[in-house]
Amino acid sequence: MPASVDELMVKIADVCTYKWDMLKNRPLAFFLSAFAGGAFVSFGAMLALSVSAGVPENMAVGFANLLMGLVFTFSLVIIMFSGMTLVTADMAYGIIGIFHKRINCMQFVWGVILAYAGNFTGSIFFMWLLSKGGGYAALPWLVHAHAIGVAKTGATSMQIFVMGIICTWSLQAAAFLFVKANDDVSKILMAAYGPLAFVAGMAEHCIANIGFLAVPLFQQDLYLKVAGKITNHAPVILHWGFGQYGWAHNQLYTILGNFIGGILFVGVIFQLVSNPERVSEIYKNKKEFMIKL
Amino acid sequence: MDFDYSPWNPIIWAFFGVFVFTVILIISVFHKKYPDYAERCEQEDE
Repeated sequence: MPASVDELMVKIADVCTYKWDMLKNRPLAFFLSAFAGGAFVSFGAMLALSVSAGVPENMAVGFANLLMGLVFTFSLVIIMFSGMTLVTADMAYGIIGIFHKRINCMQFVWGVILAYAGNFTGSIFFMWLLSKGGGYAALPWLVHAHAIGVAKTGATSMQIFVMGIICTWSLQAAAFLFVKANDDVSKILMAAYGPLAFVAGMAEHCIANIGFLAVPLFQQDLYLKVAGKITNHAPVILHWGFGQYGWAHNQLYTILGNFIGGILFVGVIFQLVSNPERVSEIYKNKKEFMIKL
Repeated sequence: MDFDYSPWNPIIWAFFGVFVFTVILIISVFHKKYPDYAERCEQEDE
């Protein structure tokens, strides 16, 4: 039987203790696990770009999104199975840790900052490497990557913010259910559901967006060279800063939305649904307070 | 709107501030209501 929600909260608090213990005693290891987690997300972004380029919209609207979501599924699976760090998962696990008095608010903030720094570094490094590979410099991928970049950075702050909330609401629900599941097959299905929901649902995830936006930004010179041949309009210029078509514009509001979706709509709600008296009973018989994913 | 592409969209920042305040309030009320909640963890830490 999968764990009850009461047992689930205690298990997640144990995962939180493991993570923040690593952060406290082996911060470099924590950073490296976040670096690996960021790169794993970019594996998914690379595959999503690979399979969805050139899919005609008149075939079935949303079919390219479905393809992207399906191949993106494995990114969270390998992150969770390997026990690496993803900042949005740590936001939701960390808030349970605060409820269970495993960490305090300052430790939570420090963990989120270091996890984001590691994820950012891993994701951007992987995508920089990919842009040097040449495989995605061919026309269909060049054009599609740029179109994704324009869509994501061209949205208004409110649109990005709301889709950021929706993203971690679905993704962190999957991360919690991953811990709830007992056997490997159930865990794979739960971990796969999250990325499928948010990528196919066109939501905004801060680390996934680093990957999705880095490719067109790193390859923009190549795109501008061919843009004049494929369109009569002046091409949209993407940039790293704030403002329309800026990387920082998308990243800022995605992060703010991601905080709310995972913490308020998953972490806090699951915690308040659990029965404090039953949780206390579990604690009375408990000897170990740390589990690795 | 003027703030559609600004890093200082006041509605979003106000919403985020309310979110932070609400979460801190919920945790504080929860810990006051259940002062012994997960108390064995704190003993372990000590």
